[in-house]
Amino acid sequence: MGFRTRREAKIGCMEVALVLQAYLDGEVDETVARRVGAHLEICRRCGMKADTYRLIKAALARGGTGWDDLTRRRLQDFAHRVGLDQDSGT
Amino acid sequence: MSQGTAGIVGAVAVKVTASPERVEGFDRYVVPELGTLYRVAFAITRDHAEAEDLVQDTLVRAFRGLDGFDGEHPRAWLLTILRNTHVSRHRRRRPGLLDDPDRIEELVGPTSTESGPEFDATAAVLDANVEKAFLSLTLDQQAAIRLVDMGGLSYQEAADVLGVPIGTVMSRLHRGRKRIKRKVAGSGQFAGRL
Repeated sequence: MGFRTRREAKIGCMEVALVLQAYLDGEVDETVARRVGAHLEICRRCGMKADTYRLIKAALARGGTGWDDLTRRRLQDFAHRVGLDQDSGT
Repeated sequence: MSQGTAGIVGAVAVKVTASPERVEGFDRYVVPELGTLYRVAFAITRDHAEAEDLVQDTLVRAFRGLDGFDGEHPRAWLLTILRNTHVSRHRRRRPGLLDDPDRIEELVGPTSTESGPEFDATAAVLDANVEKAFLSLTLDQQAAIRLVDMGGLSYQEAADVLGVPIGTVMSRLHRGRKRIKRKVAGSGQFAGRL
């Protein structure tokens, strides 16, 4: 079993490059995730590439979607009114 | 359930007695997805006011359609409504940005809500460089990134919203990010990292 685990952990940089972004997005299955994770721990180059993508993803996530407290409140108020208006109209 | 959501439930439940199941369903399935709906709406419209209007129309349609909803996969159900609503609005009003690749407009300036010690000058520079690189992508790539990285959708959910195969979403997303990485590296921000 331990032998198999070590075998599974062996995955090359080329293979990692193919699935790295999907891995970071949580879009690969458990087996692939385990293999990629193991590779990233021992491969400095791929590990740094993964870190770079993580930074980019975080920067993009901070980017302007405009979802702030004011917008949230406005839409929650609207959601409230939808219930009232629709019900009184039917 | 958040405190704000509970407030909505209470207010609606008191006044709407004719259809408590519908109100309860609205609160359970729809209200928790407001943030996702807005982010996806903004990814599609690239305009804050348009996004808010689109979400409002989606909420009305969702409320009306609650009786026919089986309770399974509310986000997917809502995203389908949002997409159909967008298509209807697009037909009625004007060409949509996602359907017109030649129409390149300036994105609305990002307004970061991040605060605290983590959001330091380095992060601000990174954000500016990433934003600049992001704006250089094709509109298709931007849309995929907006839906997944900003909207938090899965690949399949993004594919459903865009009406394209999941492989197309992956291709646009991965190529877009790769291009951002190259451009940001060109600015020297990731020196020694790439």
